[in-house]
Amino acid sequence: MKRPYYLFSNGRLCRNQNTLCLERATDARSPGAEVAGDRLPLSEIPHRINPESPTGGDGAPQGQSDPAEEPVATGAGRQRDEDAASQEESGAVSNSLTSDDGQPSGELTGESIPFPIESAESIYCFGEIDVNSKLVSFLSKHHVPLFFFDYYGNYTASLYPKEHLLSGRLTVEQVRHHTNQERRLRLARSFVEAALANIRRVLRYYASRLEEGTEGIEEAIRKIESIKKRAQEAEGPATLMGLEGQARRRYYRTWPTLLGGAGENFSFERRSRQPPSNPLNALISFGNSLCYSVALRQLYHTALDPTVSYLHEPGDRRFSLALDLAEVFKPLLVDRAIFRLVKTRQIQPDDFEERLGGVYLTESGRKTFVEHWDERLRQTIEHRRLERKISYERLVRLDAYRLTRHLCAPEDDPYEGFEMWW
Amino acid sequence: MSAPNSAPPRSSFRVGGMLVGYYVLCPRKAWLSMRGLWMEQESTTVALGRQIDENSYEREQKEIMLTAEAPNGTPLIGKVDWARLDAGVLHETKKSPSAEEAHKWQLRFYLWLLALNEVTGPQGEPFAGELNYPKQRRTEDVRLTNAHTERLQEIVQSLQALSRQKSPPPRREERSFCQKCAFEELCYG
Repeated sequence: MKRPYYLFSNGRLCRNQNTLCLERATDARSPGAEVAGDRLPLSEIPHRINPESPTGGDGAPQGQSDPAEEPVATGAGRQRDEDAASQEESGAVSNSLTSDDGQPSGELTGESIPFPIESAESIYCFGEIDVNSKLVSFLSKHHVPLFFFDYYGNYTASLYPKEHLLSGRLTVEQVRHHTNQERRLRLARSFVEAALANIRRVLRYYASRLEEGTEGIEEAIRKIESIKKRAQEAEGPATLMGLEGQARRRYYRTWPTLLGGAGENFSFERRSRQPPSNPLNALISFGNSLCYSVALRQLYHTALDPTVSYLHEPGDRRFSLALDLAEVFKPLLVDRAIFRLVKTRQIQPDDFEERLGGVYLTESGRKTFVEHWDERLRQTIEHRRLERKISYERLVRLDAYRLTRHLCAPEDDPYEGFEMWW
Repeated sequence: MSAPNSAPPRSSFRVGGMLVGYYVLCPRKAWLSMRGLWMEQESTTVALGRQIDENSYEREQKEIMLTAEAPNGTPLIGKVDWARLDAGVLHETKKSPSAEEAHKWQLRFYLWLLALNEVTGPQGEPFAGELNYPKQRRTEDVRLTNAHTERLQEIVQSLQALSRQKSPPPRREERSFCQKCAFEELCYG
């Protein structure tokens, strides 16, 4: 079974014969920090440590005052000089000019973790990971996308391998459905309707667990239902986006109530991003970016073109069809993950830190989130039509297939976005 | 060279043995695969089938490419699993006989390609076919009759019409039939 891998440590990801290999580096950003923590199936793979290489911890540069202001260790330069020889031996290009010269900010520890490419569905780089072109070709050949996150946990880039499933005529249909106003609207509406239906589902689910404050929730549900009705008559994607935003704002206002006691330490106020202004916003932003990446990697395994979208405007620098799909799945995947993590107090106020005027999850907070996220994606539900268990992640793929069917036969097989039925 | 206006545009349309097998099983599957909507890239069943194919009969002559032209002008192409040319037998290896009817038609199609190329066995007799199910330790003889040849011509005609069809044929009636198909999620997901 293929699955995503989440790399939190620093180091170098490389191709080693026919396997992937993570060569760990010390964490120059938080010296002495525990480097283990990658979500790799460590128990299943041989652990190889080269005893001759410098070990981590001791070699980590000291005296870093505030990692927030200076994410790259200033003390690392001299350290690198001394270790230049050993780095060159292992193939790294060593150059120690300034602290932010694009060089790795940690030292390779000599710890090398191989893992089979066949088991990797995608790879998430949360730490500072070096890659080279050999690796990129290798990943591309095996159809493994790579997702990068910066120091703050902001999603920064995807390495989307060369398309491996192409259908020219499907692409033509995809574009035709975009350029025809009526056809586009029909699809855009389906995305919004499904998104709102799922929001309503989440509200119902948590309202039934509330002891007080249910009237407020009921009122929000009515409001969202009325917005959903208006969405059915909306005359353009922009209006639909507006209505969706309106529904989300109303929905977010219920969060303090829904979160109950555990939510006391989490005020919401309003949705803010870039940067998120408080912990809940930080969770939403982080979760939404993971959701987008899931939609994108599922689209990659279909013949759909991820840049031709219906609700969102087609993007130049983003895969906007993944945004359309993510909208449908955010309530199930992101919002419910947040509720679970906050209500069970797995995520607490000390899992956040203020940086550059924004609030972000700490590294350990991100690990907690990703751990739950990964479990959630693998959680299954009995699918009524397929009559077998389907993982939450696979539901996203099925939606991509539904969209494909719509594009082939819009009248006989219209797209209806996924709606939670449980 | 410009074709007369009435003629259909020359396309890359050609018929292969697997497509014939698909069509016999489910015209919708044939339509989807002609669209480039492949579903087998992740199918473990298909991957296993490929492994069995690759690791069986390793000493034999494998993967023989055949081409021919149907009487109506359609280019035909076949990739025969393996053959014993000196005995005049084409072989096709399959994982399980669950879609045996499709397997038979695929092999008959290859026999037809040989016949169209006027290739015969060592004694001038037509080639014979043999389906191999190594896991079940079973073989099945396959012959090409005149009736089969006619049917194959019809199938090629139908595939040509299907390739021009804008939307896919309906799903098959029996839902249970689709449960092992790699395209199931594309049809029912």
